[in-house]
Amino acid sequence: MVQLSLIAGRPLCESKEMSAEAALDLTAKVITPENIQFEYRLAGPFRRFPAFFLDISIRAAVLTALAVFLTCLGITSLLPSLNMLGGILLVLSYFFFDWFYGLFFETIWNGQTPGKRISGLRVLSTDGRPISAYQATIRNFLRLGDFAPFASLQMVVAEAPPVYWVPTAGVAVLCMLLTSRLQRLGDLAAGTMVVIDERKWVPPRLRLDDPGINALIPAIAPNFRMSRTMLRTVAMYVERRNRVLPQRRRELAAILTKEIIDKVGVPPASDPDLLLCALYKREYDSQWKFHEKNRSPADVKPNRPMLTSPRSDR
Amino acid sequence: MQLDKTAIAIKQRNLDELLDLSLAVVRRFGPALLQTALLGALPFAILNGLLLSSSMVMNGYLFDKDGWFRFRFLLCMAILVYTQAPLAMAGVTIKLGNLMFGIQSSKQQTLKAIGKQWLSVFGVLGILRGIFPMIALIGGIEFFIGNREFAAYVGTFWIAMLALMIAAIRSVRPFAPEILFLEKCPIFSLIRKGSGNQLLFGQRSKRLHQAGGELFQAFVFAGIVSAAFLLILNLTFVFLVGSLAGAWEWGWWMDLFFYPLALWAIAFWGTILRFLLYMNTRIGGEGWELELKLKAEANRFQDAEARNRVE
Repeated sequence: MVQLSLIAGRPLCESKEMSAEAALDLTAKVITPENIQFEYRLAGPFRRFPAFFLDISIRAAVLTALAVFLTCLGITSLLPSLNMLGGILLVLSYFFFDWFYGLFFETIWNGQTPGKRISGLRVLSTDGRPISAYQATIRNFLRLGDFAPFASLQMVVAEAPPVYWVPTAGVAVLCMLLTSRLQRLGDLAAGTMVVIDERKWVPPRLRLDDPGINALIPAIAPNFRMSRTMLRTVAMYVERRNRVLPQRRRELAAILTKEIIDKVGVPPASDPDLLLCALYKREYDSQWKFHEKNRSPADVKPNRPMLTSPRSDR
Repeated sequence: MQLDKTAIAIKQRNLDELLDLSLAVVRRFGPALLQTALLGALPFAILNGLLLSSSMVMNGYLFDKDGWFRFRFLLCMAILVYTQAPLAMAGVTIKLGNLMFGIQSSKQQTLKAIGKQWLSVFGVLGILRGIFPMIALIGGIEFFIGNREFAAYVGTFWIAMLALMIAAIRSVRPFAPEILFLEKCPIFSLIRKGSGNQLLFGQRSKRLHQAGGELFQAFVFAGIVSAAFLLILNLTFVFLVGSLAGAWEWGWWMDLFFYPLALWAIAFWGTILRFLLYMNTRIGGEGWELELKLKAEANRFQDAEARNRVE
């Protein structure tokens, strides 16, 4: 498939991140050859930090448990050589845990470590595909580079204990600052990005049962039709109106209703908030009825919210 | 100007998303804002240098390695930059506010916008938010108290107390620069003449800062992140100087140049983060995104009607 797409002269997947024209947001868009667009929410350093902290804690907890176990084994055993063996095992475990923990989990859990899974994050290729073991290896092995430059405590205080490997993570922060997909050095080298593994809840049709709304609907002029953008704006208003106080709601709704009230044909003293709700309900009720009428019995599914992951727009 | 076509997507976000977004804003708008930030910070940086360095260098405090006087110097510098940042970065706030709606503003226009509000700026940022009292206090202690021991210990106590007061006010009411420079709210009704039913600074501030708990939480979190960034920047500077010049310790060059530079860099980032928090507060409390959408839709409807009438 890769070869075919190369012959055709276009990449397999086109990745479009925060372009100059689009409003700045923490999203990355990936368009597949089938022209399906996926939008992922990117995770930056602050969103990633809890996952990183959890992974470090898990590693530390396992290593501590192992150290305690090996110590107990050494003490209770009659063989003193077990003590040395325990030490060697501990050093080896530390090495493997430090270098292969991320690589192992990201490969078998499709881009997630336990910390990322708990925090709802996932590593993906920049073209939207799951990461390979090769990519997981590169991004995890380059973590050391991301922690650079390393400082020593004595740089700041001359009498400090000789600690020479204090990671500053300056490289990681700089890389994330300079890349549109908020990638650290390891991500850049591996061609990966960290995204929020969200399950988006698509709300069911809003129910507006206020008697004031129902009373307004028959008063709306039958020939009044909203434009597409107005329809979208009104839908957005109805969706989010519960977040603001009733007085502010009326102030907001009045911005639009004072312009359209003559065309709508309702009494000028009508409540602006209820009027926008009535316009929404009239429009969507008619669309809903049309949809219900044209739906075959095979399409009927239980009325429950959909779970989609990630958002996809055709 | 299309009100619903903004440079930063307008939607409600969590604090961690805002922190991540602040980095993306620095990346996209950083070059455009940097010159304004430098112009705003430079006079204050020179003033701070004069206030602190002259007496400290003269008294040899900078060479008091790891001692109290050196710590005091670093503390006073951080307090001065923290106090002055809202005024020094006023241009960044104005420019960012304009960039949100795709408006490019020149240095002259930015200065003019600050000048128009000079009385409110002087009253609110200069006096109430403690910029001039802090400068006066530190200057007074440094230059007019003969007893150096008393100035170093008791003086530092009073500086810290004033800084805590300023921090307490800013922790629950952080958006004074946005109210002054973007919403242009006057402080007295005398100045309001002719500006219709515009809210006064106090009224607007009270209305905007209703979610005090959330703002305090953001203040604490941003403080921790700023401290971490400050450490990262300074250690990186030490590393760079060490790599380039072979001097691996924290020397006078760090005290006098790189440490203040790191502080101003954090102040620049902090201004951007505060702007994003301001947007978020307005979206959450006032439905700002709805206001912009509805205004844009009302404008489109008016235009369409006008076109229909002409036809």
